[in-house]
Amino acid sequence: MVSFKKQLLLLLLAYIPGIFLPLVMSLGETLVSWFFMGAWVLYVFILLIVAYIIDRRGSSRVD
Amino acid sequence: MIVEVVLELIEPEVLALAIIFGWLALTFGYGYIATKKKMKGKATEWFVAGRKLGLLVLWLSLGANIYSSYTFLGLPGLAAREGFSVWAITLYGMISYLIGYWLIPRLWRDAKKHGWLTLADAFRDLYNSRFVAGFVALTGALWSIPYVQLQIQGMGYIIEVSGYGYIEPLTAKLIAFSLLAVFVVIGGLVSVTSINALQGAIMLIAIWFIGIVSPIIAFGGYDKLFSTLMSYSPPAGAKFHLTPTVNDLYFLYSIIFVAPLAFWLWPNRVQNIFGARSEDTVKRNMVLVGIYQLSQIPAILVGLTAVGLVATGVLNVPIHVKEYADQSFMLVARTLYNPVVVGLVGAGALAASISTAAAILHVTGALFARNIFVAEDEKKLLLYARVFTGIIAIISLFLAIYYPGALIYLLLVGYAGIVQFFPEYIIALKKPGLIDKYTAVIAMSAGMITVGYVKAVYGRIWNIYEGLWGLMVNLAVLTIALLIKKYLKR
Repeated sequence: MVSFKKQLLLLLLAYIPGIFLPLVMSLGETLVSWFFMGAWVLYVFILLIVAYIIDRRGSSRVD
Repeated sequence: MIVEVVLELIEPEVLALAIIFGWLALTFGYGYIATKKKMKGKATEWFVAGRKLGLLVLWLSLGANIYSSYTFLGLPGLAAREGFSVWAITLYGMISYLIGYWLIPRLWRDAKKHGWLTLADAFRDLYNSRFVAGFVALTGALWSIPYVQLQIQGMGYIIEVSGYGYIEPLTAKLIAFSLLAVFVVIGGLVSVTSINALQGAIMLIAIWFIGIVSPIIAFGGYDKLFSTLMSYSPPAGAKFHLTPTVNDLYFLYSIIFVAPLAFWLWPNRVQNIFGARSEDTVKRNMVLVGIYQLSQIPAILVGLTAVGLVATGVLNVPIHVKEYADQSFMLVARTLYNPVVVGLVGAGALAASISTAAAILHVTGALFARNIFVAEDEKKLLLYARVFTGIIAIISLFLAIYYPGALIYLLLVGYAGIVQFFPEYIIALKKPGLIDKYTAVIAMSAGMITVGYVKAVYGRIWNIYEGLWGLMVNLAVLTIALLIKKYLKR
């Protein structure tokens, strides 16, 4: 099972790109902004897979 | 070759509609057989499919349950109407899975241990109160009505566009929804999951195909789609913009923090999760259903393709107007593909609407029967659930016909209401007894009333998602109640 601390860390990591969004916006490049948002969505999906992998490793150690 | 002959012999609208209704008949037939085979008249089968759902069926049915007309029609519609804002919806959905991975296995474990059949059952045990359970059941069912309404409107749009106006939308809505209501009333979650497994498969194929292939067929590639859009000037009054603005940020930040908290509290999703065979199935599904969430990216591309087709003069409709924007998906399909493809993707889109409507209808009936009109025995419980499912279906149909709204906003208002359950659920889970049943109900009510007030009076304040205002009031009431309790103890 993923510990509460690790889960919280993963959630914080999911929100981190939000800090950089105003910077990306200030570039004024439309395509870059769209690419950034697409990458952010994919990045959160990868974090979800990471949560699953951590969980599997944790439970196999217990086994 | 065969397709060409068929296309010459049959009118396009007849062919497209025959494929759509053929698919509908196939899934209903399959659902009926599955129901006859598995239903043994027990309440756990009607409510949570006897907690026997395996990985594949749960994945497809949960995907079909969550992704509905709002993904197929509302999301391309929002992309066509507002442009960049649409990313806020896709992003909050993906964050919801990360939160769900932490929250949902725990909820499933507790549900199995305590024999919970609905979300309101969880509140009943956590607050040791039938009153709180009744409140959660009633408000959960009421906030679900706009969600069912959304699906009925969606069905109307699909049949209207893919049938080239051959069938009057109202008639088509009545036929499809009557069949659906009858089926859910008879079968419960066994038939819902049986239908949804098939619907989930076809909708996934349809959305990826149309989203990925259409910009290539219409413009020769994604870069050319974007260059077309960047040189396009929307008509006066249109909100469409590709470059993000500060207002977009307010909406994005408020929605990605609030809406994910509600994502897994929708009664229909919780109940589908309760149907899982094991905790491991639940966890794997959290990751796998994320694939459905990724399918919102091709849905966005469909909306942009519709705008591009208007910009180049291929499509001649006011695409930034709500009704037309919500038809983007079917308009793109009808403009770029032959009636066979239109029929197939129409079936996928209709599948999405029916599957979600079936799941919500099923759960609202269950909530009323189990947690509001508490039945004395299992036979009566099933009867009440079936009667109330039918009533909710009729109310939703009435609203869809007489009070239609923009698809995406019907969904978001529902989310803003449902998220008010979150603080009370988490607090009771982590610190049982910290807040009493009356405080919980007052705080949730205050949050929901705030959402309704903000939406009705202001629409949106500073472009901040209305759910956040409700949540702030909800938390303020809880804080004040705790401070008073502390003061009185002294």
